Amino acid sequence: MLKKIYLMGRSGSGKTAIALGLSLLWKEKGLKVSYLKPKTAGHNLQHNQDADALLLKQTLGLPWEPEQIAPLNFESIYIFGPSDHNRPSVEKMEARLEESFRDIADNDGIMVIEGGRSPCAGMSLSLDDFSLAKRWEAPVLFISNLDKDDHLDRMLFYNNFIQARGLYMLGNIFNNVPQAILGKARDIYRPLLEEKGYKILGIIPAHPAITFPTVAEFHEALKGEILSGEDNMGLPVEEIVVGTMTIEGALRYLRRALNKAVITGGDRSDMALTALETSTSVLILTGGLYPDIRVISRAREKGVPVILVHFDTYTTIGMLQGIVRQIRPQDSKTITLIKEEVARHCSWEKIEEEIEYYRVFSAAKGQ
Amino acid sequence: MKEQHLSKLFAPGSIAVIGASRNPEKVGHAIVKNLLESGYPGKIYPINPREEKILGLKCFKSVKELPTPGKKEEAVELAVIAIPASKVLEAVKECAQSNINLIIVVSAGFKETGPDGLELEKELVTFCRKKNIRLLGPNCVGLIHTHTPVNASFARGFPRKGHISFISQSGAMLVSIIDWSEIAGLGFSHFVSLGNKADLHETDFLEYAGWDPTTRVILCYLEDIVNGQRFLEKASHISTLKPIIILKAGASPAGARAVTSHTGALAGSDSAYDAAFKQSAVLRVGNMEELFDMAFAFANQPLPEGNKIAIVTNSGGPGILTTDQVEKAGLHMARFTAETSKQLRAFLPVEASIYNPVDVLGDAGAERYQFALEKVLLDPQVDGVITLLCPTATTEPLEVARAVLKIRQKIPRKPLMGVFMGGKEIQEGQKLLREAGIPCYTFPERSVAAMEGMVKYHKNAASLRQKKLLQEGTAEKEQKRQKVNTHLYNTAQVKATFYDALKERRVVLLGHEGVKVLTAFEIPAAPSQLAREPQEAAQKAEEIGFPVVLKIASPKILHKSDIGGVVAGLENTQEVKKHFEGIMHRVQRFIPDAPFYGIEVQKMMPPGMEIIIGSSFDLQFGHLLVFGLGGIYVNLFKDISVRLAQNLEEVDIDEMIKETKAYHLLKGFRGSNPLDVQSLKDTILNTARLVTSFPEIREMDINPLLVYEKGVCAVDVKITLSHDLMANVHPALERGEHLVEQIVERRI
Repeated sequence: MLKKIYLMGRSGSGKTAIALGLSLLWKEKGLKVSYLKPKTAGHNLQHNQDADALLLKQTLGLPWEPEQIAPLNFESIYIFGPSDHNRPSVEKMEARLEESFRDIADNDGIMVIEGGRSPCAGMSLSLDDFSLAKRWEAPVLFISNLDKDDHLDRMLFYNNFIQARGLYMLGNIFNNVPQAILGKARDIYRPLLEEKGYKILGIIPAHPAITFPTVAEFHEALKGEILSGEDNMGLPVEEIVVGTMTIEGALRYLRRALNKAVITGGDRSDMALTALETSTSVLILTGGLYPDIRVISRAREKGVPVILVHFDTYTTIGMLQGIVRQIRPQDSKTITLIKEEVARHCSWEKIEEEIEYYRVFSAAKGQ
Repeated sequence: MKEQHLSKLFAPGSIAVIGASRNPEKVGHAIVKNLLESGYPGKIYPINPREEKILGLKCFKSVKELPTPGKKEEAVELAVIAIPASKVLEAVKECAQSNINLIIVVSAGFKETGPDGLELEKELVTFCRKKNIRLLGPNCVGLIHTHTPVNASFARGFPRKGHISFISQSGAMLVSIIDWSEIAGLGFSHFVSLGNKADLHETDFLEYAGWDPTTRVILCYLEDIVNGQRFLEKASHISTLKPIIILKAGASPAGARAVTSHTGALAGSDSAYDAAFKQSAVLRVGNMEELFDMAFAFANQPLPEGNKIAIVTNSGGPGILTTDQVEKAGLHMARFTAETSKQLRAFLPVEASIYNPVDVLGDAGAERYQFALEKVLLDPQVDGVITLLCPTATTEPLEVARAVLKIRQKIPRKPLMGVFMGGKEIQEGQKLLREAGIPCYTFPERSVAAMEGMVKYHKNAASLRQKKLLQEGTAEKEQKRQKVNTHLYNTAQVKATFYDALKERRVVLLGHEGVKVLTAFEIPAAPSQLAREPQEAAQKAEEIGFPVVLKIASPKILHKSDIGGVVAGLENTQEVKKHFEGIMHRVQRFIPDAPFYGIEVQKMMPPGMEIIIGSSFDLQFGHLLVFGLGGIYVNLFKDISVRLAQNLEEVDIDEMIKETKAYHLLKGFRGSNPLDVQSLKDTILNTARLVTSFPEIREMDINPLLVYEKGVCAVDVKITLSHDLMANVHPALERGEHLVEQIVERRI
């Protein structure tokens, strides 16, 4: 019977990074690894192909097409009335999923299945992650961001629910844990979960190169014209600072924020130049106003991308809501870093052992 | 006197003009024409491969073809280049081969045009540096020296010979001033247009003009300063020899914005310029009129020994108005000696006012003016005199002007200025005075402003000289003291604290870390510790001793008390635990996403006078130090004084404190006891040493520092480090290099 693992977690929790890290480590160990992402979402699509599917395909050298790896498209609107004949029926969707699963399944290796943007998405069609994990008898690894107390309770809820649905819970990973609460995660959250009988298989600190979206994601969200720094679109963006005040007022904020995006009017050369002297990953100039030529010169010297957009500052900020890091196949440095971080902070060998244990256990149960 | 290295630039043996032209509309034509018309004594070599002769001069195909000079003094020592930007480097290379190492590039098309131009400019400068060539420009008008004489510029006209050097970052301004100077009767020794300041910049020319014997006053129009530290060092030396008057553009926020987009330079804060000018006795003026009024006065008048001014007038109203201006400017109306008053009484009509302002009455003729002026100027209590005149029916302005001149010749030691109020009637008198070097204005304000500038300069330069003398005498002692102090400072503790923050990817220190940094530099601070849990907080409070204050620890929260992140006066562990949770709830409600490191438990200090000591890093001048009335009203009262932290001395700190209203509170106000000013001074000095020893500190605020009758104590400190430090250190951390020393090595 095939070894499988189902990664569940909410959008932005870092499922793809963990899937990638685990896959690479197992592959290095000599295991065959395959990858399935049953449900892709619209924002994740690049030229109609799932970006994560492309990433894993290229990084792991998988033979399947992205459409096979990520067979179903779950846009933000996916529930339709019965009269909409243009939509595929639930049966058809199930069939497509099964086909992909069969194609990719390889009895010798481990199949890493990555859940949708929320474990519940598709519940009305019985295509939620819980139902799929059940259907394919995959043990679950739950991944969660952890920067507030209620994240822990949410995590507990999912753990409870997953077990109540009769699924096997491998354990949990705290991902992207900010420095400020790393100590709390280790000393308080972890014992609390373990006391309730849930395993913690990794606590991964936030890392700017992995956790935060890059300039490329900002550009994708805004489109806009790149005026300089095309080669540095991979710089991480940790914070957004809106520069509409005087320089003396802004300087304090500009100096305190690391790896930031600075959004300011194209006519604010002073703000742009000041921002370039502090830790700035991207300058976003609004209002369609071309900056002074000296801003471009300085940005080029500093290697900082400058994006010109035609929206006003307010609209621009709105468009930047919900941007998440999208790792690309060409980000080889980041991919290596992910592997190293997963190796350093996760019990990846133990996870594999647990998967094997579950396989043997369920096979025995099946007989 | 040793020759200054730029003197050849203003008096070269011969000059080559690369890009000389026959076309009168071309810049290359104007330069040759100006050189010829200025009466330049050396040889002029126009260079243009397509011409045989330009303005009667033989034209050469290239620099390489220039004839070998018969005498050494005739060698080409300066090349003026006026060809398209893309060809400039090639021409400079040829100059280098011909051993020409002074070059003026008037051509535009460099940094000011964008990234490609910037590259071109960088290449040009790199080459010049390699070959030891000094370069003025590019994108400049050129230069003029009226004494050589030489006009290596494309400005229209040639100024009158005089003793004012004008260094301008704006070419257009320079051209206009040359034109204006003719009607204003102002003489100049030098005009320098700085252009893009790729190599030579304001400080180089300040240094030259400071040395140059034909220069009495140095004027600058500047938009930015290239090397703040060097400017400061040179200007504070030159100021002790001759006045430097600077009009610095971009004093308002909008003006600063315009400067930024004009020069591409990131302007330092205006307060940094103010502090730098103050510390180097540079006179800063607010507008063009003031710049040239001062220049005229300084170039032609002796400096006043003090601030006591006398006014001689023929009408009451203008006399009173001028008196108001004098007082407003911080000058004093002189009180005459009994002897002066007696003499004035003896000769002037009984209705005349014999006290300052002296009113010689509307019917005064030249003789009466002359008598009064002489007596007043001779009075030892008078440092400078302003002569006011209103054209009454009996006044003879021209005759009065002549009388003023006579007095000037007789008593030349004190500044004497004229205010001839009127239009047509007084025109000739005004002209006569100006031509003789006596500033004469139509209204009193300008004369008082010029007098004020002279008094201020005299005072500042004298105190700078004094300070230098003191420094020279105690340099060795000071060095020893500094050594002892630096040794006393626990720099390792500062480094370790920075390292801890950087390890957590923070450039903002938490409060308790700030306390560690302060104590390492001998600045008393209230003990503070970080706690993550109520129980831990209670335990730490017991260690520190009650009463305590709890403060939220989050680098993202700038104003902790505004969101209920501070609770003071906690007397026992129960209170600490209760309020710990209270703070957490409030903070999470207001700023749910703020990263939160815990709560700091700090010893509660008894109330004292609240002072702020702050520091901010300025790109041009390094760290600025701010002193003032502290607490939550800092921004409201703005009772602060600013200095540069570098080389801050106790005398500067003294001045700094005395400039504020806080000083009056410190020395005891309405019955309160005086506070410990010495400890406060030590703290300011230690803060200056802290920021200058650790340039990676970008911002620092001790607010409040409590000052007591005995001692001081910092209760809150914010420190932000440079992000460059993070960039340098973090990769090391990632590689597992845990060497504290590296931080210091790598810091910028």
